[in-house]
Amino acid sequence: MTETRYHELLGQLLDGSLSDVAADELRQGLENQKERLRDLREHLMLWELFDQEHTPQRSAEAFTHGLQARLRAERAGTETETETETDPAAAPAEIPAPRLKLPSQPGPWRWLLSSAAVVLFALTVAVFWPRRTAQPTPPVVVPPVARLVSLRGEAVCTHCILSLTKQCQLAIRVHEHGHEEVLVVNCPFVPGDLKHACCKAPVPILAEGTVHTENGRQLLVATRLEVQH
Amino acid sequence: MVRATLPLPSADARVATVEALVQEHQAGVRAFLRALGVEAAWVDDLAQETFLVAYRKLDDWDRGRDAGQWLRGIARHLAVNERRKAARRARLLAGGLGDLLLEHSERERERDPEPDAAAPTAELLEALHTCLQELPEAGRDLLRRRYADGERAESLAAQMETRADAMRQKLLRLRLLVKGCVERKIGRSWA
Repeated sequence: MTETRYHELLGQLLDGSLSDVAADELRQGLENQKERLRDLREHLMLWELFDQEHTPQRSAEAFTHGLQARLRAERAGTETETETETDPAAAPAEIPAPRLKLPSQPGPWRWLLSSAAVVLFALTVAVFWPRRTAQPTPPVVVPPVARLVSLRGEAVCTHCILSLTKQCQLAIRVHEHGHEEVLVVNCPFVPGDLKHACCKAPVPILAEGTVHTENGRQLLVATRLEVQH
Repeated sequence: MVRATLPLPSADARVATVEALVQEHQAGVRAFLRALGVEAAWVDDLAQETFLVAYRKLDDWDRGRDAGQWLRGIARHLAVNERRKAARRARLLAGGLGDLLLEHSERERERDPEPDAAAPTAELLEALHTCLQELPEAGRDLLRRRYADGERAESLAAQMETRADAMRQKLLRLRLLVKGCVERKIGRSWA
């Protein structure tokens, strides 16, 4: 590989636009090239430091806040147990459900949740109630049993951060007892800045709502999303 | 340099110790992970995992050993683990680049059992700041827009009505200038 080509590919790598094919070419050009490997490592290190200093979402403060949230989650996990679950059997056998802390005192939000559940049920009945039309009746979908939860974790994008999906989707990652759980979030009122921020880095968050399992994934229907500073 | 006190009386003391370690070493650990071939988007995540592991294993920390070196050892271990988990390989640079960098680093480690000790983060940052000041203002501004505003070469090129590859070339020239300057100031390799 010529020096010019090496620099061309290095530029693409540092710009975040290196394709898989080009990455493979760069790898081949680096094999047994100690000096180039060292040069690449130095560039990666140097521009990583520059990025940390100039990207607000990657500042030392943002990093520390993120870590503190994870530490809190870890400590909470070791100090508390699940208090109640409306239906423990709702958790799939192959994916253990996170043991989430529920509020110890019933709060007004529970009344809101109850009301929301009633409205949701009414809507479900309205949508799936057999109609006198020529169209075939859609199959009735039995809503899965949900658990009320309040949890602290990190808001992350399943595309930008987790690389699990092709499109951006908000999820909440919870760490407990050294395990990691990811709950896909369904929420009509995601704060605008959170949508962008969770693509850059994990955002500490407090979430409340109901969790159920759908197609082997845990879904959180959120009634509250609050970024933790 | 952070030194933990023995015994660690409570979880709060452990957290305080880890927070002190974070304050002193977070930048270096993140830079170290990136140089090991971790994808940019995953660097902070793995670095946070590094400090979480440190929190759990605080009692295992040999206090006679430099904390930064200990943390980089944990970080290296986590990065190596990423190679073993097929589903997580997206956390490493694609095309086998991550593998190559990790293997190279492992080989270096076999030659020198304590290579992680030599990562002069503070010195690097100081040199970086000085060298940026030596750049023409337009160049500094371009780099700032690339990083602070998160604009890729394509979007910068569109705004400046030039081609993306020309913009990438311009950015690379600036990076080479800065790196050359840092090399002169530090006088030795840093990775």
